[in-house]
Amino acid sequence: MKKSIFLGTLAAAGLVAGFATAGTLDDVQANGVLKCGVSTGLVGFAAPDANGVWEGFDVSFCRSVAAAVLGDSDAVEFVPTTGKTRFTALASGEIDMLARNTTWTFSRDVDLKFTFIGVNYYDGQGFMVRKDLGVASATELDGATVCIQTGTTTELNLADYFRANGMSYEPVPIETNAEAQQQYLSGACDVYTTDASGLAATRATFEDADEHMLLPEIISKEPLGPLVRHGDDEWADVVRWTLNALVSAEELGVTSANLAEMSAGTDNPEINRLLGTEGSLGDMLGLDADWAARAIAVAGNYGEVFEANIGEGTAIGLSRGLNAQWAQGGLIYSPPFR
Amino acid sequence: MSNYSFVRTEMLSELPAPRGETGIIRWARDNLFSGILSSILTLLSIIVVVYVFWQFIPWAFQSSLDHESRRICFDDPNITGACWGVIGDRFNQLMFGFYPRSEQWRILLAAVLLLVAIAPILFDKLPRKMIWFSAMYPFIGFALLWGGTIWGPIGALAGFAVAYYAHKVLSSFVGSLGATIGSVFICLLWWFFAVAAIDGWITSAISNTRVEGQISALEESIPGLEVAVTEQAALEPAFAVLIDPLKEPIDAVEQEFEAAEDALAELIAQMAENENSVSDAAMRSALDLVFQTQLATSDAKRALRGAEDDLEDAEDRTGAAERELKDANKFLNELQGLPDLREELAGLEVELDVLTEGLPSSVRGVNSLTSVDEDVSTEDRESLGDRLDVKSSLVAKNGSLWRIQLHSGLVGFEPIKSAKFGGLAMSLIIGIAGIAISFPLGIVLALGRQSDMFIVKTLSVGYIEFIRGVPLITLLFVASVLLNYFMPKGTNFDILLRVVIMVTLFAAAYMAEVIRGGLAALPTGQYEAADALGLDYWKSMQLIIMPQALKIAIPGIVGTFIGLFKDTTLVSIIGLLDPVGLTIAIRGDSDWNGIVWELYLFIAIMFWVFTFSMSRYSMYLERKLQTGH
Amino acid sequence: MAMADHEAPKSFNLGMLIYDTRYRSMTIQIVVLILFMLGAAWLVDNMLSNLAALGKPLGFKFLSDTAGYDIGQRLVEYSSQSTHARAALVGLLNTLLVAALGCLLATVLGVLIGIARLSKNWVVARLMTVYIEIFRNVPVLLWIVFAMAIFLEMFPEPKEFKGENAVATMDLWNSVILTNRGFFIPNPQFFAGSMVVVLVFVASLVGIIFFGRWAKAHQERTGNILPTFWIKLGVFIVPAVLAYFVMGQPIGLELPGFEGRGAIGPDGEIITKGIFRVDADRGIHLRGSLMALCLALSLYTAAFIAEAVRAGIMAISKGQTEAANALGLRPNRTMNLVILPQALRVIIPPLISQYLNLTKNSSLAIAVGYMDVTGTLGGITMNQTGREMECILLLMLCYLVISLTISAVMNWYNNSVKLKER
Repeated sequence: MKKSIFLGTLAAAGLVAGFATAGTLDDVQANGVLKCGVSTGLVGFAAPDANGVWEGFDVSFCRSVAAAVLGDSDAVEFVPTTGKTRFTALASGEIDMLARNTTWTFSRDVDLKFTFIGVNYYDGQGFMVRKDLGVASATELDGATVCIQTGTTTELNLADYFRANGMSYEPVPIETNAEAQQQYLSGACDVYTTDASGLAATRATFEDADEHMLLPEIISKEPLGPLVRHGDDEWADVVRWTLNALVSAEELGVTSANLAEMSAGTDNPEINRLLGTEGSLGDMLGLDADWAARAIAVAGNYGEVFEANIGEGTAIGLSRGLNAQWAQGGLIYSPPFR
Repeated sequence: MSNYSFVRTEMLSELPAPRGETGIIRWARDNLFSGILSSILTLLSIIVVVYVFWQFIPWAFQSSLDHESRRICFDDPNITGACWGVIGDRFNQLMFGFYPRSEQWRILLAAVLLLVAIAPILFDKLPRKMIWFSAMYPFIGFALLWGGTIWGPIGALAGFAVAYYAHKVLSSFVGSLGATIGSVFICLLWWFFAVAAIDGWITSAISNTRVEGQISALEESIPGLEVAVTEQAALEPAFAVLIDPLKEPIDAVEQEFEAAEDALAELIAQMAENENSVSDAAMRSALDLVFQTQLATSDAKRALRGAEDDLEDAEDRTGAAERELKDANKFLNELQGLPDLREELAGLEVELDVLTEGLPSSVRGVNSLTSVDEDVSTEDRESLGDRLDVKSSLVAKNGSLWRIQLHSGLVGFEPIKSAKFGGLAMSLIIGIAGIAISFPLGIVLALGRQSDMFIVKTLSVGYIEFIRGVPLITLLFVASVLLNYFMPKGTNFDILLRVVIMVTLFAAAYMAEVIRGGLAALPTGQYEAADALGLDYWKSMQLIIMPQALKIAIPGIVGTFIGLFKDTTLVSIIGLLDPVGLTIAIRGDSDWNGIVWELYLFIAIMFWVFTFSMSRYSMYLERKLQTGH
Repeated sequence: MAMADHEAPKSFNLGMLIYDTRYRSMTIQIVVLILFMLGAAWLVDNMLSNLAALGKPLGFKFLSDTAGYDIGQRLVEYSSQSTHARAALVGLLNTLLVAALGCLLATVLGVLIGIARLSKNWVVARLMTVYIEIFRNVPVLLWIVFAMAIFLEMFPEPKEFKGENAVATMDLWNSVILTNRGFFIPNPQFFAGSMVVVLVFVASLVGIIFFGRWAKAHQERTGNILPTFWIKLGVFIVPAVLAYFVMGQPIGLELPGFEGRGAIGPDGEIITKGIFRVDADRGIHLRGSLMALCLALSLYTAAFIAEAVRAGIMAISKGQTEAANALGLRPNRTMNLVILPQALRVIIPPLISQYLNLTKNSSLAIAVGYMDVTGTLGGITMNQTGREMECILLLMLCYLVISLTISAVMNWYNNSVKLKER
């Protein structure tokens, strides 16, 4: 409260955040809106449509958290962030959570003081080449000119990979996907490297997609996940378990279609605990009983969100792969709701 | 008078100039082919122009205006060039960003009022009194664009009145200089502490009188909204039914099209073997068939797309009705929960008092458990922790209460968050706010730089040279990542405000130089005359020097504004969605991924139109203000 | 009539600090200084405590950590194992390189365009007006992006040089390769004896300077104008060329060439391994990003310089030209001896600010992937280390030093051509 009085006029005008308490959850509830940092525009993950409504895989998760906490999936203020601004935006409290394809690494977790609440997409850095380059493996890329999308861990992985394999290369670092894509298509680069999901999304938009291919090597682990500030465990729990709820819902067969029916009560105690008809899990989080049901109601469970935004039915056409449920051979796994 | 018959008595009529010395030929010879070098240059220029157009025209015009996605442009055989559909699709966004459509008139009104506000500055024939409107415009513009309670802007404006009266009262006690300092101090106190309190007090008072009526109005309107939702939802199946029948024929016509293409290919293959084996008529009919089936296919697809669009629109309408209902319900719940919330607040306050009483006085004011001294006992730590928890939820509950009261007691326009700003409107807002706020700062800096006082002069020069020595992009980095670090912990400025602050600081340095130019251009006689009249420094500046210097500086100010307006494109690098930043967002939509030229070209033209007309205006001003010969 | 006592009070009192003009300015200055220092201390204190709370206290140790990323365009030795400080240095040199090239090109273009705009030729003058109006009224960020794209489209990609029936061929007698990855030009090589050639060349340069002085003195003494240009040109070329052949052609050119699958190897055999590309070890590689950035910045800035040049020339009153004509000076000597020296004084101040603008605008290099100091220090290094405060402060310092140096040098030059008032 102190500073809202101090910067009185600005606070009255709504230009300085009016209320800041020790807990992010309290803040979000007081402000009635969740401020969620997303990408400025990444196909399938976050982008505004013609009406200015944000859509995408990351966006959908923000909406689920907002629904769980505030009961309204539209009570989200999407803050577009760049590779540079995302961490400071989170650290300074400009946003409450960041869902922007951010790789979980040791230094980000420990040194930059963030808490990654889980992984919502397992990615890895890949290479795209023209088929007529005559290269079948990344180990044959010695001397290649490589377009890199910067601002991420990409350029470090690339340097490590080429050094480890004793190969030379000419780096062409580009900030935005569009310019990198243009350089690659005009032949100014032999190879385009970024996260494999991004490569697939980019390739899907080429006029001659068949003439390009992804090389089999994936040179890094890129577990992408939402993150929150270090040191606010209560809020981290809310975001973490919202993600887990979406994942568990898929595992337990709760979908947007049968949600209403299941919310009435089922034979499966875990579903009941998840949807709040049994036990008091919501209470422990500081939310009400049907928080998870609301989160799932936004766009369905994890699998539905995946299919609707980046799955095989969309223009991007990513297969589940590593992002299948653990029972189907993937890595997506939620701790139990108990 | 002698009779000189060989002398003409009347003038000969004028003969036309020799052919080649008049009209277009003469003009061309003078202006295009006056020498070898000139002729070569002319030809080269013409070749360049023709080449550029030759390359550009087909791309620009063999294009589509209404396709909904880039993929459709690829698939349409008639389109080999640009896909302008993206502009049609996103025009509103490129202009107004995410500002709600129903409120966009506010931006337009603010723009019109802006023209009114700057008119008295630019045209000296208008009545002088209009300058008052100009002075008030920043507050009006703010209230229009951001909305929210009008008490905030009015309170801020009232600060000037407070300062004026404070000056009047104080000057009888402490003299004019003391009064000036005192009134500035009082004004700052007013802005920092009083405005928010007054705003809160008035709004909650209004809210209290309104709550009852609002609850009953909502209760009345909600059933109607529910009916509207069901009605809209009921309309959807009618549209959905239309879709499937339209899908069926597509496969058939596509097959026909493929068959026709195959047939044509076969004919061509035959022709390649033996030219005479295929008659012209057969070839032509095959071609016709291909063409017709292709047309039929695209017609069928278009019909399907149309039906799908209709369904989508219907769904959108349902969605809108649902949202309205949801909002109404939410508001009603909040209003009905107000008494409970107040009770809870009162309870929390009592609890907080009790907990505070129980604590030793040394830790009562501590705001964080980590900053407690080591010698505090565990018990006290625990109760301090409880106290902080209670305090935190008290602040949160107070926030909720304020939000609800703001909603119900709002006098003014619907508040719009800065995150909703974008597109050209945001570029203009940043540019205009930057120039307007930097103007007084620039005057102060320019005077400081001309001052005889060493420290003042050094600080001014240091500031101006520092700002002019670093690129705007580094200052924008400061705005986006560093500015919050310089504020007390936990302060959180809005990003747009931060950008405007940095842009203002940037523009102020350039403005100062422009104004200094104006000051330097004044003949020393003016300064001396002012001194001779016995005016003190501020009077002479206000009455003699500044009016003339600023007039001279206007073209320079317009030039600074043009530069600043162009530079606003850099905010895209820190993630704001100005037109250039929006291109990234638009490409993030899978419909438009990979589209580059159409957007950049459109934005370039948009900026060009603005800056070109402004630069023409500044030239006109320069001519008008020219007093020499 | 009693005279009012106008004598100033003998003893000092506090009111005098405000009301006595002798002290007032001192009071104001001290108050301003105190306010400034308080404000600065407040900001710095906030910053330090905020950074400490985030666990990254102000410090520049991270600069000696391994950078971990590669930079293609570099003027000094650098690898991914070098430090962040080294990366920043590479970036800084790249900034200086693009700024220097850009300023040079912009000046040449700007002067030509400015003069062409005053041309009597209608088409040329109009075309230049259109050029200026288009270029200076569109944001430079867009021009940079456009220039890169045009560069990418205009030049062939390396694979078009491949094979027997290549679509594209090398230029200038097989010595230059123009691709959309950049231009590859010959690299001069110095063998034994090349020192002699270089020394001869330097000596002839010195000779040219002395000859120029002598010719001027000669002209002032006798009134005879020597054909200095041709003599200078001769001195410039002939001795160096002679020395070159006498020493047995000690300076050679290393021509760029191709390598990788499909390229022809040193012994005429066809290589079967690797990606087809221009050999990075032969010749000099002028990268596409550098070329495009230079071109965009100089085309944009040239529009402003052209306006300054035009204004400068127009500022010289017509009387000057007429007077020169009346003296019987030929048009080119009128330009050289009368118009330009006067116009330069008007042109140079705006020229300085355009150079500064160009240097500052080069910070947009990241849009085309040119690793200038904003791209390394303010880009990847900042992203990887999370040290925003230190990185941005250093970045500002870099630009500040560059800007102040440029304006100092140019102001010195401006003073040397300024009208000497006696």
